[in-house]
Amino acid sequence: MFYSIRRCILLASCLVCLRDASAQGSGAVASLNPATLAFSAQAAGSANGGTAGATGTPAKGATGATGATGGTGATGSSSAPVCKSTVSGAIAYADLKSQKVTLPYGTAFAITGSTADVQLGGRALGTLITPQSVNGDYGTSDGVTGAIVDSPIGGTTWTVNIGKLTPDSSVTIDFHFTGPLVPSYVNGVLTQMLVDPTFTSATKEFATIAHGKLSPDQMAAAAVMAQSAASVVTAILKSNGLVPKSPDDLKTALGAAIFSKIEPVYNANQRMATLQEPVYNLAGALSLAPADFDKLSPQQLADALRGKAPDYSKVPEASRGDVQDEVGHFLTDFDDAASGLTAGLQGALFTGSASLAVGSDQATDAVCDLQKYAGFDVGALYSFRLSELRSFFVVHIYFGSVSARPGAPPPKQTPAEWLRQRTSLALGMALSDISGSSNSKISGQNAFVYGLGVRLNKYFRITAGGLLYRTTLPAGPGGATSPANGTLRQEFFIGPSIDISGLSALQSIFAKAKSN
Amino acid sequence: MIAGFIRLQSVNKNGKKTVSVRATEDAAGGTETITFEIIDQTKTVQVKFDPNATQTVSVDHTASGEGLVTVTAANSPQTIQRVMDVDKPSDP
Repeated sequence: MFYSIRRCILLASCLVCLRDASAQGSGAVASLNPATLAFSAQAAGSANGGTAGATGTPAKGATGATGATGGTGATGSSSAPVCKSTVSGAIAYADLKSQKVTLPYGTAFAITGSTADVQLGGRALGTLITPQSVNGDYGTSDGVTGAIVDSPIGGTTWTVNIGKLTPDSSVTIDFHFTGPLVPSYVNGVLTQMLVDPTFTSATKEFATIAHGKLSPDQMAAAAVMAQSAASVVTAILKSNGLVPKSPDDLKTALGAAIFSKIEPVYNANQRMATLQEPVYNLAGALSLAPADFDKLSPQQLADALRGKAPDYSKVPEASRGDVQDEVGHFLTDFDDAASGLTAGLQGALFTGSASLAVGSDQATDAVCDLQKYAGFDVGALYSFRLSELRSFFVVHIYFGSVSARPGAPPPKQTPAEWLRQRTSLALGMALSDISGSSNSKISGQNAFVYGLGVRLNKYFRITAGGLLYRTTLPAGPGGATSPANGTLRQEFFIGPSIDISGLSALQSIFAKAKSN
Repeated sequence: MIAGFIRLQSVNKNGKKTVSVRATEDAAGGTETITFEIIDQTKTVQVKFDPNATQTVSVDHTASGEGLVTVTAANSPQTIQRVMDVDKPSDP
């Protein structure tokens, strides 16, 4: 009786300790005996999932909190990513982006979203292009890749189809949206081009080369400058996440369009420099400090001149008419340059890529964790009273399906679910002694084992329970045999084991083929 | 010394081509040497300015086509430059 009570207390203590230990991730493994530790370190190193399982939970929980507050703000920090059922419809892009859901495995599924949800380089997709179609590709941490077939975008919503993914993996999905540029975006591109160092350098080079030459030679130099400008525009578009579908065609078209507007393209910057001369005090006319006035971009100056009527009384009287004339020409040149750029970009299709790297590291696995019903362990058990260390194999039966990685967030974050995800009913057999004992009391070396297992992570477990065996007791003095010899007895045991069904090659035997 | 150039213009009336600019003198005043580089032609004029005065300086030329027109002043960092088609007929 005393021993039974002591065993119960010991078992309860172990369970409490294991909960604390597993929450600290792989550090829990260090509490095992040295022999097991050496084995587990090797296994965890070759399969990141095991280590990630322990460390992934806090990171995912934190992400879930961010997604909740950044998205709908409805569920709070306790909401965890859940495995979205493929039966109930497509995965929402917004949910995926905010990591409110994880992707299903073992079955194809769809992702749907609104163009308003897509950002390219921090800017809304709709402010850059009018998307007409979407395609893409994806790759998982275990090497699975696939292409997303081109899908037309009729209005503001889009849908793409993704192929089968493998469980417990991270995924990076690249969406490619294609469409023409939004007209209002072109003015911004022009401004960026005008202040781009490469463009200003090209204009200086043009002035140097063209100096004193005949007009045809100067225009040849201008054509080179136009090509440089086209390259600058292409680079600006690329920096905004936009890549032309036909780069060579665009460069040719853009170069020709800019060249046809070489006067306004070149003169816009020159007129701006003239207007910034302190002697004309246009800064005062716009009620701006000279330092602030000098920082204006061409677009900002154009907006300022159009937005608020300059007070030309601040301009010296003798130059007043000249400044007004120059302002008019500056605005005309800026608009002409923009129209030239628009003409060059008109009809050209651009692709904007939005990469959704929700599974770029082990802490943010995007695919549902494998759902298991049973595990098959091999390990070593220690029986106190027998003073034996024996090898054993055991089938662990879970109380319902569980995630292969116990660190994966459960659908319900309750203590009961936490316990259900980790505990299992163990049934198996103890095999030969591995501690060097020469006179085992177990008849035939084999014994039935039963008990409860508690998972530390994806691969390692502690099992405790009873060891049922038939005795073989040594003969007493004079060769007398003990009456207890040959009787059925049981002893308490505890020991670590490794779940070999956690290895990917065996997962399909013990797990579901599809996530739910 | 010239303090600023503005309103560089090209005029072509019935084949007579002129380039003009509005120049503003600083407080010193005096005679300024102003150089026009009109595509492949260079023209220099000397103009007397009163202190802080602004006046139009123009030159006739025979350059043709589209290209750079640059005006500079001796002893001044001021310059003005535009790409112009000097053959383009002026509005009547």
